Amino acid sequence: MQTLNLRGLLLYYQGDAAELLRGLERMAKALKQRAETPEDS
Amino acid sequence: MSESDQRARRNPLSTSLERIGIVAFGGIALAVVLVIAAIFVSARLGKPAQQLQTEILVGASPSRVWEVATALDDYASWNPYMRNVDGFVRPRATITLLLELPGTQSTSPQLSTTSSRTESSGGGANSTLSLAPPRSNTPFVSSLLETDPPVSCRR
Repeated sequence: MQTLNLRGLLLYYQGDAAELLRGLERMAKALKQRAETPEDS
Repeated sequence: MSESDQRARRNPLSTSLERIGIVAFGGIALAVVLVIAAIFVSARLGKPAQQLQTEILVGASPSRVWEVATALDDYASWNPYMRNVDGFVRPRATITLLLELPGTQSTSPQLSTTSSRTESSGGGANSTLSLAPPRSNTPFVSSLLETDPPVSCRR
């Protein structure tokens, strides 16, 4: 199976770092799940 | 002969000290202006930008990941924080979205998008999708997705 390394970067100046990082990780997981789901499903 | 010249002739030391005082006052005034400007800029921009990074391996082809990442009109169906995205990914395009990042207030910024493929001197390459506000009116300065290996930017 072909894999791809996806890197998400966020430059920010407001907000809690731990919460923002959790959000970024959650967004990456959501994108991974979406990309790994067959297109016709 | 002017009044100041007459005074200088009478007491040259006094006049020199007076001029030094004016220069010193000017310097203090300039410093005060700079400090006020720095406070104003600091208040407008908040603290300096911080950077967060995360990486994840995706079991899909680069083109499929890029397709998902750039299909902004489909974000609402999978992206937990970016809702109602309006626009397309193309150079210098403007998109509007409803953004709900955790730990920050919900905003609807207008962002400019860029997508590019960059190659490093070591032979590596990345594809990037960047979302950045034209002005600092959002909690973030820019958001960037990078893929390795790169994918062709089609949209």
